[in-house]
Amino acid sequence: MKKLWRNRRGVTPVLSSLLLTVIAVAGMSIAVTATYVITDGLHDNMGERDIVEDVWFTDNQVSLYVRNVGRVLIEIDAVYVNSVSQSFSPLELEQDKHGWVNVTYNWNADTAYEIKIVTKRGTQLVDYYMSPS
Amino acid sequence: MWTITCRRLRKDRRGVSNIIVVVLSLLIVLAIVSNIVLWNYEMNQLDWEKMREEVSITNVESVTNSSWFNVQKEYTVNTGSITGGTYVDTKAVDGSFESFIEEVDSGSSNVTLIDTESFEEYWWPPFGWSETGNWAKESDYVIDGSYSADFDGWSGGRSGYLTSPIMDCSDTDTIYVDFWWYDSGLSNNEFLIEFYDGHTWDTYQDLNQLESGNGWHHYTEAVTDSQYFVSNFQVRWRANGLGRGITGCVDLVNIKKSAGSGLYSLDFTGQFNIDLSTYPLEYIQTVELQLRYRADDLAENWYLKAHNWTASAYSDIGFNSTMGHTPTMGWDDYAVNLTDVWQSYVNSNGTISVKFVDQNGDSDQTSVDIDFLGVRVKIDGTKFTFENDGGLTVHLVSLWVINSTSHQRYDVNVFVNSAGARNYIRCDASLPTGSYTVKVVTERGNTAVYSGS
Repeated sequence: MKKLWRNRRGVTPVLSSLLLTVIAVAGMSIAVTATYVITDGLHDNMGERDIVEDVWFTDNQVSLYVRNVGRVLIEIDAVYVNSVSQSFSPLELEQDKHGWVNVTYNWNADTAYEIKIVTKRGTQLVDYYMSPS
Repeated sequence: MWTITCRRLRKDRRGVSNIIVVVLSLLIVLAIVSNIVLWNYEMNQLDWEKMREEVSITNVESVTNSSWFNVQKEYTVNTGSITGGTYVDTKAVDGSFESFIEEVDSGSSNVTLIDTESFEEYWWPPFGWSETGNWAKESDYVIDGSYSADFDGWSGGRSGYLTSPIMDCSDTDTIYVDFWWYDSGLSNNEFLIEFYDGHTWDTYQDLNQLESGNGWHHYTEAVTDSQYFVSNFQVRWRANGLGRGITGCVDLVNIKKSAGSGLYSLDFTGQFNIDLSTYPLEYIQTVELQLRYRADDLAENWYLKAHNWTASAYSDIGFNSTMGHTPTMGWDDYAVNLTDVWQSYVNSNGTISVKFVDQNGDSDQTSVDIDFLGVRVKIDGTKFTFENDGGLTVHLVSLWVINSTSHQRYDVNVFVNSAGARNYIRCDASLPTGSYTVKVVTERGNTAVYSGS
């Protein structure tokens, strides 16, 4: 250090090299992290598959039996009946698991309803279901 | 170009570390992206497989019986023998059958005819016995108790008989005669044992010729001469001209016959295993036994029994029929139902052991042909027929039986091969009345639907 203080001509190259290395490491870390974060979300989105096994119209309620046939955990985030968000019993399904989603809805007999299930990652499952007469 | 770059890097090594950092980072990015590409490929394959699935439900019907369960190994023949065919021939009603024939039952225990008679009763001679001459109950010489049958000689010689009760030995092949006799000065031809063959008395043994010394002697004999296998067999002890001071005694008489011997009988057992994975015990209503057989003797009934695991014995107690079946000389069908006592006859792993046996032994040697012997269970279930017309094996994971008031779901685990069909029975699923829908879901997420009523 004493030598550096006495002869300051050697400081600049060292600092420049150090700075360049830090910038390179930081830049690549950001790049790697960004890649990981982006692709991880993509990975989970691509792995989501779910189906509705059954729909049962009961008193003021529509029950949907959902099965996770994908490769990642799914969480039901929203249920829409005719494009209107409805309250429902929350459901989280591991791979190969299944369960009822109970949607509170005052339905009419012999009517077609468009029911859309949306997962937390945005996967949509939508179909038309006829209510019993 | 590469040479120039290397030379420059050697001269100015400050840039090397940065290059390494960048290259490593790029490699990591490449790995992450590759992972995504591969994952995308895998999910695409999953979708592709799902699209190739083609499963359908071709039939749904109520079932009240299981299929027949048959023996999986040769019957155990306890009495009798196999004369033709094998147990495989008894698995279906067809032209092939297994043949059995009755044999003499030699494994049974003996039947006691005279049980340790030592002449201790108040009455002389004992009930059923008779005597002539000088036979008397005395206590001079005894081997058991306080008395024996005693014959004392006298001057000039005395003779007499001590005769046993009549014994039915028509159904045996061996008579066991066992007694003790006392010799006090006896000579040859003075103390004899005689057997009655239904017509005449035969001298069977001069006892003094067996053992001539004074004192008690033990006599045992297994009589296998068939002339004595009559319904009025008797034994008598003959004192012949015993002089004064000469005495012969008899004590502790045992006479037995081999039980069942001489009679032909057939008795065999087979073990049947109920498939509890398809027909769990809790859904079984009862068990049925079915027999198709032919016997060449009209005179005896045949029985189906099962091993009672509680009582550890073969029995037909509680069956809907315990009267057996009388053959007609042709092919006969005989079925019994174990009613509500079936659980005593089926053990926890689904095994039921069935015995085919005649009523009693008889003198006719009967041949029996068994065309079919099976066990089935009564249930209240449903049979589903699935068909896979796709190119991949399908794994069915969920089954729905739906009507207007009920959406009943069942977990299933059924594989159906490509281009194959599969019957699947659920004992816990009964079809609703009226119209209904049956739905089955595959592991990949496809659904097949069947509507019925």
